[in-house]
Amino acid sequence: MSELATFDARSDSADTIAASVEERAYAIVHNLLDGDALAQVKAELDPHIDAVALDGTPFLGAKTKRLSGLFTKSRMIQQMAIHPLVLGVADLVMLPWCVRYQYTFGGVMHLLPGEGSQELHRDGYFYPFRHPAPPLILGCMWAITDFTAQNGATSIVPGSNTWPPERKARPEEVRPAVMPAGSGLLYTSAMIHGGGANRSDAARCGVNLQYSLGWLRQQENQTLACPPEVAKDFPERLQRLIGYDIFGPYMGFVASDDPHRLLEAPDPNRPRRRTDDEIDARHIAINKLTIGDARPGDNRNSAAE
Amino acid sequence: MTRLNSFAHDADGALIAASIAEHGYAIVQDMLAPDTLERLRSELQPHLDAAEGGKEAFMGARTKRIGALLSRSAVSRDMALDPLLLDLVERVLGPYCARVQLNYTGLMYLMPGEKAQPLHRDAALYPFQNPAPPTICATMFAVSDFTRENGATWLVPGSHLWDDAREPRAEEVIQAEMPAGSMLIYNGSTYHAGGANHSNGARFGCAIQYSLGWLRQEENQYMAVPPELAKTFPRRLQELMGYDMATVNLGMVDHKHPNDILNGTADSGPGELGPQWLIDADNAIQRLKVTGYAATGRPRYYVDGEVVQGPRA
Repeated sequence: MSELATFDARSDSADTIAASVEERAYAIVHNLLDGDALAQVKAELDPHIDAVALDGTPFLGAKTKRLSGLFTKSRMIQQMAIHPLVLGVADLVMLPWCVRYQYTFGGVMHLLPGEGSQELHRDGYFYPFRHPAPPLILGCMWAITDFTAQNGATSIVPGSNTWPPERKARPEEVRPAVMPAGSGLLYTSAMIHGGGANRSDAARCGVNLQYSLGWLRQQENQTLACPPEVAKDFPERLQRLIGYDIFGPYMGFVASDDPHRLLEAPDPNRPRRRTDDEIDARHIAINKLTIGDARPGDNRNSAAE
Repeated sequence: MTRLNSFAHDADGALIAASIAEHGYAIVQDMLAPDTLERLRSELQPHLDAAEGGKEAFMGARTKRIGALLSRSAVSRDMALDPLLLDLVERVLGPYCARVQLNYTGLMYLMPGEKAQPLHRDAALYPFQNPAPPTICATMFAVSDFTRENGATWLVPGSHLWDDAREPRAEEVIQAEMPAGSMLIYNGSTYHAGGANHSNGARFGCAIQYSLGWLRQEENQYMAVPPELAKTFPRRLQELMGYDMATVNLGMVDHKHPNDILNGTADSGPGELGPQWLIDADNAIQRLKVTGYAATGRPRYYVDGEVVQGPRA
């Protein structure tokens, strides 16, 4: 069986990693987080994880602790969401399709021993595009613990991005995305995947931070999760990424202005801005989709045989 | 001039929707009664007095343009919930999304001497080549009379079905002349523009726009209307603003329902983010197939006198 596409954040460029994401719909990147950063994110999340009650649906997992609303729970996750290498890859993969991409969802996925495997699926089923489609979502599953074949490393189906929509994954095509703590699995919504089964005696903890094309509705409403009085302390890149920004000509404005102004000191002399030359030029340059053959259909069908 | 596609307020919604599907627009008379219009004007007058003309060329140098209507006018909240309007929006957008949402609310007040806007498609906000499924269903409520002289909205009937290569010609442009209280409703893919105001009075209109719930809103309703105010709105209006699940799992906050976040009614555990009725609604909509793509720009056509000049940068 071939090796999984694996890279090293200390030596590989965003271009190299993005090429893998575009070709295979995924890349595993080692050494995104060092030991100190890992210790910090663990310390920040542990009290929240301890407090989670187990009441997930079958799809979400009976023995999986899920947390969202992450930026108010962990400062390190604020930094992870704007990791330069990850955003470098996102620029290359997503900017052909939107003027700006956005942070759309983040979740802790903490699999307890005994958790079964999740149904294989493609992300983005809540947007009504049939596979194959442009990368609507780019996710990065950050390994907070090691991800092993025993403890429920994400099951991935390499190459499923190019499959015809009706093709299901056979068991031998499903691979565990094994990676040491501090790594990230970057993947697009075109790839079939699912949470693995945890057959070990310890928890598997991952933080999945996802980005989507900026003209789509955010999966997790960050304006409500991080209102201005909370978001004002975030790094500006993160503020803009979560929605305090203009996402295309006239897209996402507030009071005829850039919503980022809600986080800035008032300046009556600064002109309002709903678009600018750069945004206009980007809007003209991005790919416009031709839509054909619209028809009803359950978009959430299982991707496993 | 072509006879306008105009309906009485008690006309059958299916009939009006069929007309929008064919012509890209319809006018509905008597949507606002005279006393309602009077209340609307008095609510908005202080905001008009405080507003300046536009700073962006596209927005018009002699146009007062104010968004976030819902936070400024109680009448506008009733307008956004008008049963006939919501019925039409559902008929236009419903096949393509489980839930519709508000996209933009605002007023456009064209002062004497304002020039015509270039013809454009509101739907150019989203990166779809034309023809495309409807993404936006827009309205313009006439608060003053809309006349040929004062800048009644220019429209190109049927252009919502055109591809991107077809350019509108001057003789294809009509004007949505209508008395105050009427509503122009149009598919966001229909070419249109604010007209030129050659009269001595203002042309006053209010726009309320809806879009497919899985798209980003043009005007961020969560920020445009203070949550303390939104809390006082009817539940259906809150939902239309986006305090709603657009479909299963889409639009939640920390695994809770955004309407519960607004109203302080969230439980400690996860909310109900995928009730069966929403799953059913989502499974019934059209799924889109991307058959190609290209960078096609964003055409705007300038009409000077009787001549359409074609796109400018």
